[in-house]
Amino acid sequence: MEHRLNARNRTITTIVFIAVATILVVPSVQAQTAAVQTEARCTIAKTNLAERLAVIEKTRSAHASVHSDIQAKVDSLITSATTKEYNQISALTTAQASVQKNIDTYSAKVVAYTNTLKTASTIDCSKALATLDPAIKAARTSLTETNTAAATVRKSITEQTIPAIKAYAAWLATQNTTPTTGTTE
Amino acid sequence: MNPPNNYNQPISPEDDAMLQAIEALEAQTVDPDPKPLVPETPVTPAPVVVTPAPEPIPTPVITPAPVPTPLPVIEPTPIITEAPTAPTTPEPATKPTDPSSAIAAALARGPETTTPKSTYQPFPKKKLGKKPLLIILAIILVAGLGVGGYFGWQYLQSQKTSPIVNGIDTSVPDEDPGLPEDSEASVNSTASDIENQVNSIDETEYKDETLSDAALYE
Repeated sequence: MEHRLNARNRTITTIVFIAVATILVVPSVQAQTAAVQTEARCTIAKTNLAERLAVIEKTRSAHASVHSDIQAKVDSLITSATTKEYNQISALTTAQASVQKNIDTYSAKVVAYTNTLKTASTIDCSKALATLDPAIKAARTSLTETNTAAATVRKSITEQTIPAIKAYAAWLATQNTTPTTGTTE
Repeated sequence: MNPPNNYNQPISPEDDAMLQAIEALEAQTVDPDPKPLVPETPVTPAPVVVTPAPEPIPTPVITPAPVPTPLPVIEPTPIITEAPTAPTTPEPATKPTDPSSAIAAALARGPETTTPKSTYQPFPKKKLGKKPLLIILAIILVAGLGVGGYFGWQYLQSQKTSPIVNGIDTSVPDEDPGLPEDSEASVNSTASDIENQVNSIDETEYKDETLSDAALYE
């Protein structure tokens, strides 16, 4: 009887031991495996973020050139309209100021976005692995804002500047047909 | 012996002795009873050409001209004179009584005097003035100005061609944008240009997909 009890206790002890060992050991092994995978992913992400940063720098430069060229053309038209005493010149100047404001906002957003990309792409994957996800999250937020700002610039040019220029052209047409000029409000 | 055209150099003792002998000879020519210049029987020791001129010293040292040893005054009458500065030279057995003998004697004593080194300088040193220094300084100055001007020009050019401020290209296009704004057509053309430029702006790089997991971890 006593022998049977001892055998049962031994069995229970063995089961408990195996259970405890499973609880303690397996998660640590799993965690170690997960850490290695994350570090590898971090390295890949850093490489892609660095490439993205280079692309964004090029895009920003190209956009800045186009914006500058458009604003120069509008400047020239405003000068011409002033000389001709165009009565709706405020439409042109307002559109130009609005576009310039949006361009400035867009430029600031792009700078912020590139900074987040720089931060994320320089994380030390072996030491600061936990900072990668927040950095990527911040970069994504900044990217959305930049995209919105770029769309706003486009919209302001399309909906304000171009109509104002066409209105000026129409006014010029009326001036050519009626050379006596007259500022029709 | 010194070259004949080097009059600025001090006279060597040999030359001096020769000159004095010649002067004495000239003095004798006014003698009412001149003796023949050249005796009937040639006197062998007269020229004493045997005494070679001292070789020029390689490293000439400018030393004060030595006081020439006074030579014996040759009297027209045969008076025996003593050489005042010839203590080491034994007196000749018989004093010369004629001018040629006197010349010979004087010349013979020439080398015996304590003649210092010859002061003849075959290649006299010339002191360098300030002129070369000024020329070198002028060359350095001109070269410095040239190099400085070159780099200054480069710097100015680089300033003109880098108008990117805070990451934004602030340059104004050189060409006049668009057509003249005097006509409706030109203004409409400008509007079309701007429209095309806006449409050409590529914003795909700002799409959210560019930072998706698939894009980052692939």
